[in-house]
Amino acid sequence: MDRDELELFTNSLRGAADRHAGAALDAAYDDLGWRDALQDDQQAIAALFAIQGGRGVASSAIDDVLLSGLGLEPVPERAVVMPPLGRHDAAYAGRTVDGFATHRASTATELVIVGEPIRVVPAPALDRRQVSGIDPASGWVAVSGHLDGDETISGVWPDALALGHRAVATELAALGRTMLGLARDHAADRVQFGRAIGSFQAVRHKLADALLATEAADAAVSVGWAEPSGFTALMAKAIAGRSGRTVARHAQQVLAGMGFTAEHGFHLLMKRSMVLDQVLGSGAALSSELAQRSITERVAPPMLAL
Amino acid sequence: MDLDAFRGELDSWLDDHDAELRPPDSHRFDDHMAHLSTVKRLTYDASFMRWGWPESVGGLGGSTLLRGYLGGGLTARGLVEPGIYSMTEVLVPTMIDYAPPGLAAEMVPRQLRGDETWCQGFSEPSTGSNLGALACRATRSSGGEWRVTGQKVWTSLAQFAQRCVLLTRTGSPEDAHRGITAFFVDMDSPGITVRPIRTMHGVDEFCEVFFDDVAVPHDRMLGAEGQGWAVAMDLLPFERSTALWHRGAYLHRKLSDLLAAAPEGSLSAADVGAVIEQLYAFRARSRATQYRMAAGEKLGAETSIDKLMLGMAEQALYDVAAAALAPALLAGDDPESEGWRSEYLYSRAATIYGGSSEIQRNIVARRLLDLGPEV
Ligand SMILES: Cc1cc2nc3c(=O)[nH]c(=O)nc-3n(C[C@H](O)[C@H](O)[C@H](O)COP(=O)(O)OP(=O)(O)OC[C@H]3O[C@@H](n4cnc5c(N)ncnc54)[C@H](O)[C@@H]3O)c2cc1C
Repeated sequence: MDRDELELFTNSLRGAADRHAGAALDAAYDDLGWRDALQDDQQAIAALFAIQGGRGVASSAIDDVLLSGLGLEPVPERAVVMPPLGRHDAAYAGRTVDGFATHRASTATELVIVGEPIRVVPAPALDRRQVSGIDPASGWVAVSGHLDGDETISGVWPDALALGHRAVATELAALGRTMLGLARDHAADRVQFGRAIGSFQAVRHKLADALLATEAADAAVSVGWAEPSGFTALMAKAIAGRSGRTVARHAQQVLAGMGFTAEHGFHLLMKRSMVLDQVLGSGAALSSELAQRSITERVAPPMLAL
Repeated sequence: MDLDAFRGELDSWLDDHDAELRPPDSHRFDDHMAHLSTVKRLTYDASFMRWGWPESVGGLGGSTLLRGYLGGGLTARGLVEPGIYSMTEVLVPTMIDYAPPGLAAEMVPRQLRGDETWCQGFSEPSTGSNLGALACRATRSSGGEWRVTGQKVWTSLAQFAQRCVLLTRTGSPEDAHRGITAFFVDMDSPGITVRPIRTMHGVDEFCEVFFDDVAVPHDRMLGAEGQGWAVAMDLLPFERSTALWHRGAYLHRKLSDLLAAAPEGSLSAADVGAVIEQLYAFRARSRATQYRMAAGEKLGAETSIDKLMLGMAEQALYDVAAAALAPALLAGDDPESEGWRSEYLYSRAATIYGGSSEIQRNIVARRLLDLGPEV
């Protein structure tokens, strides 16, 4: 895609994410040619997940991303069973499946179960439970059951995982920026003691720290796309996850009672952000695993040369 | 010279000259200052130090990225300590932008070549964060020259310095930041007294500097009369760009040093992971800043983010070091332990110098979050 095409595409995505969520958003993305675009150009993936995070809406686009990362045709009939929350290695052990999926898993006819090797089963072969949990709005699905068949499919999980990390990190970074925006606008409008609360230094410094975290996430996400590797993807995911936790804490405090209500949009963003931090491996676990390697090898990982 | 070619040439030159460039096995600050001059002289004579600076001041032109790469290479290899090396990055851009062209052309090569040390006279006893209230006075004498009287403090390297980029008050105190003027002052001028101050990390890194009716020629003014605040505000983003990139390269090395030195079982993966994340995020941010600068963008308030990130990453790293190396760092009297102790202590200043972290957050809130004035 050239710049103009990408901009046009991005604007259409934005329109779709403004109007729809869930399966309806999937359909809208479909109409816009998202599946072709994603295979054609990774900038399309970055754009879509940034928009999704900016709006705090859910779709099953991550399934398409992972499928294409595995070298499989991304079609709506296929859903991906990701590792359970917090883990990134596999969604099955032996013949036992324990995985996490988007809402697509409820309607798909085929499930692609990640791990090494990648397994495929007809969807009805596994139990698919609609997850209510902390983030019912996103329509997550827990997948479990027993693998009877031995059917596998080619595809390298670490490659797909890296692509998934970049996509989820992009969404997390955008969610963080949206949470910060809500808190910042609230601080500018809300008056206490005769002045905007944004004039109090305690509030300003919380927002400054939230911006710091947001900028850290953006920087790591940009590198993830510009210099793709398993390592830069992992760093983006870990840093964006930590950033989400930091921003949520500060934004919640600044929004105070208003942000504690179910009517205000903040809690939806915070909750989705908490789940995304655990999807495809928790940020904390990913970074600890990397650190453990550095500790064992007694040398720091490479860090972005000029 | 493009960055690719520069990388190749510099890397092999550094490999070949490692022995001459290695710092002395000494913890005396004077020895390290002398060694810094040697490194600058060698890199200048080999041309590397001249790349990335304009030809008008003795440079060879080319992208500012070359300066980032050179300083990154020298600090990452442990050949120079970034605090003293990167002073050039803080002060030379100011000279290029604000000194009369002849003065910049005469003086900058001396700084690049390591012939001279310069210092930055901003802070005063009653003016730290509130820089706009500084009081060190400059008045114009009947002869047309300026006379400076007052005191500076925390002036790094003043005892070694031949020149000082000095902020003075030329207007009335009520003019606040509008009444400030910058000068480039010879430190051997009669009336200047320098008294080193011992820091908590045991180094005479900074000084008190007293000015008693010191004569400064008019042509040593940087910028125009009353423009000193702009000079200072333009200088600070440089302090938060290339200089910080160099520091980040150094901290990356120190992380590896820590991983090599830590006793078995003394490091937690979660803590080290958090340090890696912070350092990596800083590097990602700072590298983008280097590229923006190289593209000719004017740096401003957004570099406060870089400074905050660096301060947090640096302290997180040394917090982990202090815990993992506690017996050595607290009670070891061998040179290696002394090194860790000194660096740990110095890391405490990372959130103080160059504008404290609170001041950076104030800038972020005001300028980047557009929250209006504080109460
Ligand atoms: C190692 C080192 C080297 C230095 N080198 C130089 C140098 O070469 N040249 C030079 O000019 N200076 C130098 N400095 C001085 C440095 O710039 C000042 O220390 C710094 O600006 C803070 O000033 P202060 O120490 O007077 O603290 P203060 O300004 O007195 O601040 C004390 C505390 O109050 C906080 N505070 C102050 N105002 C506010 C506010 N508005 N909002 C919130 N919190 C606030 C500060 O953040 C800080 O935590 C150096 C300092 C160090 C530590």
